[in-house]
Amino acid sequence: MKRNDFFLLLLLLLGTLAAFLLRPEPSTAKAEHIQVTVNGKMYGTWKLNTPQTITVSTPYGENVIRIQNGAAYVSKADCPSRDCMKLKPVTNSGDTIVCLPHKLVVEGKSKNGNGGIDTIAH
Amino acid sequence: MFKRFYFFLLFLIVCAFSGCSFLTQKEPNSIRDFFAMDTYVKMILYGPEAEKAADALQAEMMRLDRQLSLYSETSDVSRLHQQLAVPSLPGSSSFQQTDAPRKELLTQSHAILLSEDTAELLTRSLNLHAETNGAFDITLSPVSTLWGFPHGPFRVPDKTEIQATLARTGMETIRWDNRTRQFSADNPAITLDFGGIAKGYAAEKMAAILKKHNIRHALLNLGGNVKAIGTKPDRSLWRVAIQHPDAKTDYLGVLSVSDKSVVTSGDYERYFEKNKIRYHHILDPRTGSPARSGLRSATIVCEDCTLADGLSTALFVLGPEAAISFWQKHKEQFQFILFTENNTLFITEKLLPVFETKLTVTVVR
Amino acid sequence: MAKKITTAGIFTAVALILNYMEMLLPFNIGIPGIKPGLANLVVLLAIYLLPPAEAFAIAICRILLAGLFSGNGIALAFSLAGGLSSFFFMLACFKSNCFSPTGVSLAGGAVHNIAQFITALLLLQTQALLLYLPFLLLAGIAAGFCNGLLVVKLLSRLGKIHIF
Repeated sequence: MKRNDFFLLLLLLLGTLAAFLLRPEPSTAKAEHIQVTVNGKMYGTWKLNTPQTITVSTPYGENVIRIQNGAAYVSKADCPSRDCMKLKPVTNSGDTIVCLPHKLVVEGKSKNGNGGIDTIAH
Repeated sequence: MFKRFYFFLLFLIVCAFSGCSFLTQKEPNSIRDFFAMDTYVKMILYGPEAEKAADALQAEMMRLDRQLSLYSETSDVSRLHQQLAVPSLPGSSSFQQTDAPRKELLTQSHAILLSEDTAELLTRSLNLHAETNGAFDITLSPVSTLWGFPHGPFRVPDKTEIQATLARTGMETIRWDNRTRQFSADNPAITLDFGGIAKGYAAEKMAAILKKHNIRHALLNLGGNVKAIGTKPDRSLWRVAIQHPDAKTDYLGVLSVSDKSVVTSGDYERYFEKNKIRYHHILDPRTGSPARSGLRSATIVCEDCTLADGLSTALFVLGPEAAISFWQKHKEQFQFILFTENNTLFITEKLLPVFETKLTVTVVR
Repeated sequence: MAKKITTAGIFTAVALILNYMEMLLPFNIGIPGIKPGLANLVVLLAIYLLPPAEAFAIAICRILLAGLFSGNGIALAFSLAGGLSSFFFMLACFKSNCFSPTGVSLAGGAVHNIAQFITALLLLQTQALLLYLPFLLLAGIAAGFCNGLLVVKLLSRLGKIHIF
């Protein structure tokens, strides 16, 4: 009986090894829509699968958000340094573009949570 | 004999039911985003006092901003400003590296008493400056302004301008007594800009408040500076992605951490381009120009967020070789992930099991 | 009959305690709700000492009660999948007489976690879960092995007490 146990253990360990080799690459969840907030208040949401242009005009200033090819970016802004226009387009859930002077936040969201990512260090 | 079994059984069932309340409790939480002056802050807090703690953290950010934008003795400030020729006043916020920096203006003859927070920041800055052989420097705001940071208009100054402005920098002339909190400098033109560690410092202050409110699971993100407290409520690790410098690529990878700070300095956050050359905001104190060390991003992982903040800037300036040598002398204090212009990803040994990436890594031991 | 109920009750209660203790262990595998399966120890013991019907009753009771106490629907799903699969597998191994209690427990532990994993895959629908499979398997093997050793010891002692 003991010998069979040993074989079983061996089999299970081999299985674990196989499981190790089958590990997938870490994936990210593509964002399905963007959520735009101004000073913490919801401004609106837009789907990323439809190319469109959104003008956000607030007392703080104006930003134009362009959605194209499943990504959202700021195409025009009248803030002093236009940093928001240089930031990486929002493609995944959790990606954020912030325009500080205008207190504008564009965040990628998806139904499937955030691809297992809690936050992004940048 | 059966009676005994019955009682035993009853006892066990009562135990199980009393454990019931503990088990059916769902952890209350607070998820809040806000702008505290010039930083976008995201917080995720878990615990019975989550809402109260969130309020306290917001208040602390406001307090720190006021504290670091003024001298503790306002009377000294007004006296000082009357005597100085330099017109700029302490700005509104110090959380952005070079955004209306917190300039504390000094004269040679007057020793100034600094507030507790400013004192702490100065002490840490001086230590970092010494440890990194000058790569970390808080006196560079005149040079930043010369380039147009933070808000522009941006320009590329010529060498003579830079040299002249560099004369107004230098931490070596600082005279600082930690115990009396008396400050003065031999070079009257220098200014102090804590933008390089202010966010990390704020995160640590916030962590202390969370501890007081018994919040054991939390995630803070102050403009990209991440502080993870404990694990997630289900005891899994917090997953922190590190941004890739290229706009077209998702992340450098994902770290799984608990009780750690993750801070990245990169050439992609604040920059301008001229003639296809990118000029970013992390200046090399020796040249007065954007650091060209071969690095595109430097990420520090350690418990203390102030240290992580300072070191990320310093290591970015140092470049891969010097950064690795530096680390080897301080192995137990922090871990790092460096991404070079040649797309090499350096990572310290201890981070290997908790970092998932699609890129090839070069392990540093 | 009363004796059967009592015995079953004791087994179930002990299984629940083990379940509770299990939650106190810092076990994080990334998927919330999945557990190493220490309570299998009790079920295994039941398989060896009691008729299969009673052992099954114990297994079912502890799964349902533990699920109730946890207040966590997903954990119940995992527990059902893991607990039931490992029960039948262990019963089969026991009947086949091919393995010692250690081996049976090993099999039970592994099957327990594999079943939980498959349930997680079905519920959460992300391929990313495959990242955790090797660790889950190892945990199951380890738990199964420990349980097995314990059971061997327990069997030699309990055989001398005439409760059953």
